[in-house]
Amino acid sequence: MLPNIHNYDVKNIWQKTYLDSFLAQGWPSSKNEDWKFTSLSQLLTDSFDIALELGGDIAEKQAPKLPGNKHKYSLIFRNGVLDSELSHAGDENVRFSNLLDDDHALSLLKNNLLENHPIFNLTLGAMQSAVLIDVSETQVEQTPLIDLSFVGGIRKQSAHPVVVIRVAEKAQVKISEFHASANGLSAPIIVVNLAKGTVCDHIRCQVADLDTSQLGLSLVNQDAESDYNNFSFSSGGDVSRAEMHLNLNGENAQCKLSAIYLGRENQHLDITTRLYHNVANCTSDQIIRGVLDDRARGVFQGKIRVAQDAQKTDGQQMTRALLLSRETEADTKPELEIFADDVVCSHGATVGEIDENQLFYLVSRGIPTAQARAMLIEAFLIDTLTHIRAPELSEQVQFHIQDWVLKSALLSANNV
Amino acid sequence: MSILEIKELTATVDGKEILHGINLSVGAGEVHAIMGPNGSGKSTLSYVLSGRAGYEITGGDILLNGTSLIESDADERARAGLFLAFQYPVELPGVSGMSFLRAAVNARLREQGEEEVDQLGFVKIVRAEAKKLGISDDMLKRAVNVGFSGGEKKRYEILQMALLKPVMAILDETDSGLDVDALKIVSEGVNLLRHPERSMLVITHYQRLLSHIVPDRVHILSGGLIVKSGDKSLALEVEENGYAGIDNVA
Ligand SMILES: Nc1ncnc2c1ncn2[C@@H]1O[C@H](COP(=O)(O)OP(=O)(O)OP(=O)(O)O)[C@@H](O)[C@H]1O
Ligand SMILES: [Mg+2]
Repeated sequence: MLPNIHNYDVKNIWQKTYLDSFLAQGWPSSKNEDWKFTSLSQLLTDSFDIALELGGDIAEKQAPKLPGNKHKYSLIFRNGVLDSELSHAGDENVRFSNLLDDDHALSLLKNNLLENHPIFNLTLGAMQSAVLIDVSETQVEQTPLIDLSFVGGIRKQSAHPVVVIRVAEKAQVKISEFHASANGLSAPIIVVNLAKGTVCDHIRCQVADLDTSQLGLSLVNQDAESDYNNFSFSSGGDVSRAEMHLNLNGENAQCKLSAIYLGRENQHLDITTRLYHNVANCTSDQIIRGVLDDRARGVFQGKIRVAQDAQKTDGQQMTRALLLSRETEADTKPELEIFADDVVCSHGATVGEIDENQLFYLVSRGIPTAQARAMLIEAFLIDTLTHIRAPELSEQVQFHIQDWVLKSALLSANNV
Repeated sequence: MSILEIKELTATVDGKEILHGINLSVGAGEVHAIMGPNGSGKSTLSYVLSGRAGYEITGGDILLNGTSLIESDADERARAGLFLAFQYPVELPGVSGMSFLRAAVNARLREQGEEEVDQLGFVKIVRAEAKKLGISDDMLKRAVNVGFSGGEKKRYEILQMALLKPVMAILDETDSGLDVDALKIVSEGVNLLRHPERSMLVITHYQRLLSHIVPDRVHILSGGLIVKSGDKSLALEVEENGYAGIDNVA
């Protein structure tokens, strides 16, 4: 069912166009190729009111304790609305302002060619907090860390926060996103705009409530010689989609995208990437690992599009799923659209189970079955974790992984 | 008293009976060798003893120190002091060698009610044992068995045995894949582990190993049965005449 937006007034008139187009199209069904495996019209059965103000309890799910860092800038969104009391005010190195006051930044958001995208349209139409973060090129001794938390929220409401991060030439930045929403629907849009020669390490940790539908959209633009390292972890939500559109717009830009999804019970977890090699001499490397238990379903859709002029492109993509139960399902849809001739692109996908030979080897050494299974699941994920370049950001994620893996291993060992 | 006692053991794999009634008794501190043609059931016996899933015991019993093992899972048997050196050690990509070894040793220590070893102390112990077996520090840093040569894998099996200090060790063709020098190093490693409270069952095709690790008894396994037992001279007999010269060999 659609969100209840009939008695909702947009804040700005231009937003109405987006809302109207969302309403005209509704949630996509599996007939829509982009939503083939994640049919929102079937999966989203509740209706919500648009969240308008701060709300929800955050006592239980506090924002992550990131390592102490005097260059840390925290923004906390509750119910999809910026909580300015709990948030950092910014300074001359990392400036916070209202996105709606900056036409250039707004165009970074609006210029994405996503006119038929339900989340893009809905969130642009319904956003309450739209924050612009400018990371200046003035280099501080330590790389600034932007820490975005999306917590709390009211079950019957849908949250639509928007954050645009604009990184100036040669600047370096670390970004940590933490999603632990309790909203019925949480649909944040995060835009990262990397100017020439920037370096960005970005971690996203999604551990939303198990009855939250978490549909995130990340839009990244990379200028020449920029270097982007992204890691995304998803284990929350009844329906979760981590969707990223990344444009390589300047030569010699490079990106590394790694992702882990862990699903159990009836969760539906989707990772979708759209990588656009628009110019020559860029590299992209994607590595995705999923573990599914119970009746969970995993989806990976990865498109790499190489424009005609994007010669010497190197685009790699590898996805693997580990199924811990017979009732899980993993769907993979790689798409290579290559219009240049001098490129190296590849993709691969595998789906497997825990190897009985490996398990026996471990237990034959006296290691209890549950621990042995946990060791093998963690070993399956390790390649992805070694992709992370900012280890201090990965502690939080590692904790959630160990917790999840141990629970699965213990439950299955008891069931044998 | 026997450390290991196998009585009238029958076992099936995928519903097919492979072991047809094995009787074998290994005393404390003894080393017994098992020889036999390909496909006679030697590896099957070692898997049945160690409790591998899919290897079903249909009759008889296995006693370790007088206690029946057949209701115990593989990990419990290992913690009770049984150890199998694999004919084909398994690669574990992504599992760090050190954390694997420590998990195994700590599981056994916990079982014995002893304190677990800390990381630093453990690394020292492992390095010292590894040195005796000619295992490089670099190998220790890699994932378990990944990128090891055939011979390196066999050495790594013996390293695990040295660390786990089993009461009953089964070595399944530990000599296969070893060059002459490695055979010597590994055999010396095994001999160092001979102990009045540690027994061994050494499965091999070759007398050569048995000239290094001298057995107290030699058994011939054929068609899922022990068809002949004798002292170390039986191995020489097999070497000279093959199995054709031995009665009852299928
Ligand atoms: N899963 C299985 N299903 C059916 N038969 C099996 C299975 N595994 C082993 N066997 C059979 O059991 C018999 C014994 O095999 P085993 O591996 O124990 O022999 P072995 O004595 O160790 O031989 P080798 O000297 O070649 O190592 C063989 O005939 C083999 O084909
Ligand atoms: Mg064998």
